[in-house]
Amino acid sequence: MSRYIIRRLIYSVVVIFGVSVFVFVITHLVGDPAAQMLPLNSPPEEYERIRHLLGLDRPVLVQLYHFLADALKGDFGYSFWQRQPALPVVLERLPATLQLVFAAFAIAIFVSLPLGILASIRPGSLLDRFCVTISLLGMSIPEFCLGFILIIVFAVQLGWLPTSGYQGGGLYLILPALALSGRYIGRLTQIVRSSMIDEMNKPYMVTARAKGLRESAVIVRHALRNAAIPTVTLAGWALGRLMGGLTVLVETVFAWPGVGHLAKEAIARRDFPLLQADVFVVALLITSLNLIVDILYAFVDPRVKYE
Amino acid sequence: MKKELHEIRSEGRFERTEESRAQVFLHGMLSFLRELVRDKAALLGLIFFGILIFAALAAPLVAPHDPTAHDLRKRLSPPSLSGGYLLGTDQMGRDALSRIIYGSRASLTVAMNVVLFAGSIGILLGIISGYFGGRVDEIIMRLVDLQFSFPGLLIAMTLIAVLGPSLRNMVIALTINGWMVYARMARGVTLTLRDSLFVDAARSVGCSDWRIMFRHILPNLAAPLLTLAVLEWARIILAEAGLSFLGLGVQPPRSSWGLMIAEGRMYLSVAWWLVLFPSLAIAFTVLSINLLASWLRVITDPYQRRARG
Repeated sequence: MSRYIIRRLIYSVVVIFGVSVFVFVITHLVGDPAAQMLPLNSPPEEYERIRHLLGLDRPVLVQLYHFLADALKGDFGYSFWQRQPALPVVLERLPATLQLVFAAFAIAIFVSLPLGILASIRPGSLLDRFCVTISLLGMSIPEFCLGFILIIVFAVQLGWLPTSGYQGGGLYLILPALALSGRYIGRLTQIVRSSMIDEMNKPYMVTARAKGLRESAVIVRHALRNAAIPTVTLAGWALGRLMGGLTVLVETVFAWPGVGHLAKEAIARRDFPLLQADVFVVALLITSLNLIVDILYAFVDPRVKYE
Repeated sequence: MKKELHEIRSEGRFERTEESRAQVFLHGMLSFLRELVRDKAALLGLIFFGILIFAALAAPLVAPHDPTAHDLRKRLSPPSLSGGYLLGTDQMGRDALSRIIYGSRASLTVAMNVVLFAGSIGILLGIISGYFGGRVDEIIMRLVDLQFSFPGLLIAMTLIAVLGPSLRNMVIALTINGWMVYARMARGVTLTLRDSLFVDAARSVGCSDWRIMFRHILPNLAAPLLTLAVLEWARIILAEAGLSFLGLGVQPPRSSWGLMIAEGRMYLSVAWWLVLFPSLAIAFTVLSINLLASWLRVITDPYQRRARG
């Protein structure tokens, strides 16, 4: 078990390293940090001065080394827009995003677990079709469109909930979390349904029924527990994807002050140090989440650690 | 006598193959249509998607107005059947329906290009990875794993922000973001075929590795690839809409669905149609593609086909 965890841990470090190198390549080799900092039509002397100041006249590998070493120390440079080091600005926005993501996750679990189980009881039945339709609809509506539709209905027309903003959560959390959970509900329902159907067709289900167990016990104690294995991995994986960008859109729609909205603002202001710090923090978040899921997976399914 | 028999045989076989080829094709088309009619949802999806492609290609003929012609006297007119603006007008008095029709071009162009480029790169690398194995496989698959754990959309945003917003740069960013799905699929299928009899046969008659990979293994990818490409198509339309919404796609005055939503959001409380109709356009498009994909998955997979009964 510990060997498995160590291996996953090393892999996570590699991923973070990979993301950092990727971001470096994009911002330093594809783009030009000095040109991004200066206003248009700056004199060439000024450009050279900035280049030297940022160390951009040094060899690429030296730059990469310094970039990574600074990143390791949590130093991503200075945010031009916020006029302070970039990392604290991002970390300050992190709780709002976590709040949103976990609320959406809770809603998704709460909705898609029953939907998926109900659908799997009799595949092809009216109930199944109903659940599959809901999951398909959920998967097809982009989260930001769903956000606007929710705003139009519940905030503008009915006036029940605030349109956007953030007052520490509460009522303000409901619409963004619903919008973010939409596509997740669609995915998760399908995962639960198909893994339940897989289990339902296995011989041990016949045994369970033959020895006279109630149908509810057969489904919950036997099928669901085994179906949980693929569900947990895929749910965690999807949770990572949820954070890997989808929050950008929902946070923008609802003016939710999280890391996603911050990334959008950083791009709009061409504040690249801030954007780098943002991408790094999100990558770190996703990777630690994947790590947790992998370890959980090994606990749920004892076969994994012997691989 | 022996020679005659041989001739008769080869002649007979020749005729039979010609005949059966046409028959197989006809039979295939017929059963394809029959399957499609059986699944009403998929049929609906295909029809909607067909109309969409037609509208995008024939936009100048189909659109009732010039998508950039503005008339400030008619700004923010609500949707109406009689006023000449079926889906209303935006803040500059431009026809929303025409802008949606022209906007479909951005979506479909990006999706088509990304599926083409990401698919080609992914399949090439995936087949190489599965066929040769060893060190090459190790490197390519580590890269694939790495990309799967990236914050995809955020990296795409960063890349477009550096390159500058345009459709071309969006295609580049989404291709970099999406090739690995195909690579993983292509590698999986290649691995199962690498040691099969027909590959051994091809090798023993002296086919080169490249010929085996692209003449013998590649055709076997067709069925899973089709489903995957259709699914990816839906994902990319969503990504395009999202990036355009953030202002990283086509620039005004040209139109795209995401951009229309971004422009309309300022008028949410007075002109809901500006946001609702492009949203529905995206949702219906993605829904129709998803319906097609789930149907394709069922008919190309014999196991699921039997389970369906």
